[in-house]
Amino acid sequence: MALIRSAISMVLAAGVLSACGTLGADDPLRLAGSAIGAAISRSEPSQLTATRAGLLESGFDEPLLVASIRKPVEIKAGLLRVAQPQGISFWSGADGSTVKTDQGVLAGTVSVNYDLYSAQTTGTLAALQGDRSTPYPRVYRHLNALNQLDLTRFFCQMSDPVPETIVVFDRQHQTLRFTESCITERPGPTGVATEIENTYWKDPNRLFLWRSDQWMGEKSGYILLERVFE
Amino acid sequence: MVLSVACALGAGTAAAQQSPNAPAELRPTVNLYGLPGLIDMPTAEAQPDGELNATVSTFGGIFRNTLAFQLTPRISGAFRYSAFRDWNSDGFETYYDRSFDLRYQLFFEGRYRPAVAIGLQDFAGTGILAGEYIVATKTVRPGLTVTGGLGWGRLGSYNSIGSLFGSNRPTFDASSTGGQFSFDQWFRGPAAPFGGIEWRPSNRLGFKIEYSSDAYTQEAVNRSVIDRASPWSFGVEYQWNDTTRLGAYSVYGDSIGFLASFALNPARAQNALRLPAPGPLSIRPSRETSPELWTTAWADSETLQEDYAQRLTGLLNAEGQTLLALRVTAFDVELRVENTRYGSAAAAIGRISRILAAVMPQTVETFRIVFVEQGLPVSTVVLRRSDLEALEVRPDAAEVLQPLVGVTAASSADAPPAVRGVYPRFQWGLSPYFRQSFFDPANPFLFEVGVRARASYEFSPGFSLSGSVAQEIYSQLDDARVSGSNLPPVRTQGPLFEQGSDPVLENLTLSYVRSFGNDFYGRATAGYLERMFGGVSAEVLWKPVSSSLGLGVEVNYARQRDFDSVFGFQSYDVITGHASAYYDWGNGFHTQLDVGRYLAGDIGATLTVDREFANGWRIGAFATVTDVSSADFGEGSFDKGIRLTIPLNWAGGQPTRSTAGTVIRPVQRDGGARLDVPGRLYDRVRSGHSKRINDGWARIWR
Repeated sequence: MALIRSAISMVLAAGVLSACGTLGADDPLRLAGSAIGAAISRSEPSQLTATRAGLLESGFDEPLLVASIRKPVEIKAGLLRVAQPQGISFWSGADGSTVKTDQGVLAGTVSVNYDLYSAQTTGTLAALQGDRSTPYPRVYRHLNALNQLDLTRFFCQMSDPVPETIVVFDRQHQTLRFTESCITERPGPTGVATEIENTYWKDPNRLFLWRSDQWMGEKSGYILLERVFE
Repeated sequence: MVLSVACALGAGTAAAQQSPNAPAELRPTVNLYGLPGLIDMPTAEAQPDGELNATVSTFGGIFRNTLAFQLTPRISGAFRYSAFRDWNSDGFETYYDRSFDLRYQLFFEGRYRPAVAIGLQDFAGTGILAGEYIVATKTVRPGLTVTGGLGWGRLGSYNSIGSLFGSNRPTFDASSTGGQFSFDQWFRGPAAPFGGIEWRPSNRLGFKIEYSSDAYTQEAVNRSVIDRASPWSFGVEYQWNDTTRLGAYSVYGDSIGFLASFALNPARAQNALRLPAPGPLSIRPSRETSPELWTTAWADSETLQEDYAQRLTGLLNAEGQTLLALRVTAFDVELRVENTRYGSAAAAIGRISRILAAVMPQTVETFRIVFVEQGLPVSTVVLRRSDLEALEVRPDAAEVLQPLVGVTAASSADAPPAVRGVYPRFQWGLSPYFRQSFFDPANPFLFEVGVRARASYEFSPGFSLSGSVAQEIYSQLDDARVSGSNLPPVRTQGPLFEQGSDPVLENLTLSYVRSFGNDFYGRATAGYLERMFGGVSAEVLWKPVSSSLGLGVEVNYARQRDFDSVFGFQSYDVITGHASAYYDWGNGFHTQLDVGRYLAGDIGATLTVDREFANGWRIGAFATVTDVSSADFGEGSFDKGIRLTIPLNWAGGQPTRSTAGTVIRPVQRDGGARLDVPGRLYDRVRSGHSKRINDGWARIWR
């Protein structure tokens, strides 16, 4: 018996002090990647270094969205459109982190910092197309730490357009700049109402956003989206 | 205009109680007792709902370790372990004390009305810290609060204004076994006023000044634990980060005090749970545009089940889902899976559904997902593929989908064919472990670290042999005392099981579990059930998938194992068992009542009340009363304690079903001790039932 126990003891002592096996094992490095989500998990800056000329030279001309976020670190990443169910574009980075847009208006994010679960887009799209006479509601949903949805209800008002020339990835665009100002109907945790401002640079001739700076949430701040290739 | 409308709707309304997500600078600070307070005196502020504060503090010869929990927005409780150095009397050099506090928020702060709270301190212990208070706190300007209150007991011992509700109050007795509620002394005896000011000029810095009504009679007058030269104390505090606050104080004129407080809240994740994006749902082409894809000829294939099992197994494994059985027909698919990764069942449902949508032919419309927990089918989740396709991109997709998904019972019978090669199923694991022992009189905290090997061999669904062997690397647990007992020593001989440093067979059992499909579940287990007892155990549970109520019966024959925890047994044996009722109140509270015979042969009941959070956090308390008298039970009078479970994905941000937890008993005695049978049914079954699925429903799209 003593011999058996010594043998067991040696086997166990040889085990490293980290869990392994098929019972409850999970690979903590599974999320390692190279785009937005991964850069956030490392809390390191990550920059897209590609240029329009370089992309064209390599024969790349797919729809490309460049996303930049500022919190918790500055990150810029290229996202490709992987699906477009019911008109909603799913833009994914190399690690699968995804931004969803409805004709350019942010509809949600997946694995991008503290995710925007979903955002209503109907009022914003109507306002960008000319119906700016009345304020409209806009509901943002965020998944909280209890796995439940926090609804933030904004009242929004779209500004009149201002002509502006912008440069996106070395290419000039004539645009109309719209500013969407929103305020919550209830105060937040600090006792004051939350105010946000989304900015859209729209093509003058169609509902197409060349650039936008849109709110993702209290913890994540804003995301700058730039459309490089249509 | 929109801004002015919205301002009128919402701005300027002060919150009655801080939200759990409020930043640290807006949450109440704690005192040396670990409760909302000044320096040694309480304030009337309430922590955010669910706040868990762990506080360590010291001044003079006094050390306090407090775990405080905001049980509801108005009710908070605390458990404290204190040490009084240089006690030098009653047979103690250092006197250790365990105490419980309870407080109730009578009023939250209003525009003109102060917050008002009433509290009981050390209401069920030996009484060294016993005191009661009613206190009011008002914010006079942002960051500046003023507090005034009236205390009884030790909080009414300095400069009293008389006895308002009777003068008959027993004095502290160090030789008492404690554990009894001291109803007869609450708010009795002299009362005295206290008060103070807290000023928080910045988000991190705070200052406090306090006038105390505590004379420290036992510590400063009768003994020399501290010097009390003045009723005034002063302090400065610093908010280190969102979790940690540090304090330094001049206490009672002649002592320096220090405090470190750590605040956690289930609603504030330490790290956002970061799941790899699941990718968009595969949408089927319509029957009109692609009629050739909507035929059912594929269903006639002889290798149909095997082909799809092969395709699904790898994809599901990548999502931490083990495919156990599969049945595919032309119009629906049923699969039995074990979720080994996601704490939220809804997240698993979402991931599995996406895989099915990507793999299954167009005509398969119904997805039946049967969750299996350690061999036991616990529920069937039924989804319509077209609902998923229609709703995925809607902003309110989670809310709209929820009522369209069915959750029904699952049966061990009528199971689809097992996936080839799954059974017999061998699983193993090797991991470090940490065990601890609290409140031994000579060594208040003892611990052991080591390596644990676990293995399970499932012969067929639900029928398995499993065991666990532990090897200590460093252990202090054998330093704990073996206390005397008037009852069969079923637990007080615990330290004798910790002698030696050889591998220990923690458990080795043969078990069979079965779901009868009619809301009844059964379990039979035989072998070495726990470190101290082996035997046989049988359990039947009734728990409908959508019911708040569960009822169970368990009967065991148990025999005490040899102290070396190998294969031998001692002579003590007992038939023990309980009838149990479980009820989920739907408001975050869960209760369990167990009535029956305990290990020492005593008969009685255990009531357990847990506050449960949707992300898996659980904080609760239990108390057991049996036919054993207080005198025979010994110190503490009856068995009681608190328990805490924290999901590791909340702390680590990675998907896992693992949890960390502990049970803290003021004293481990032999009365009211229950057999620790592995694999009890209720928690296992409940993990796949409607309440748990709905708790984290929004994760279905994540």
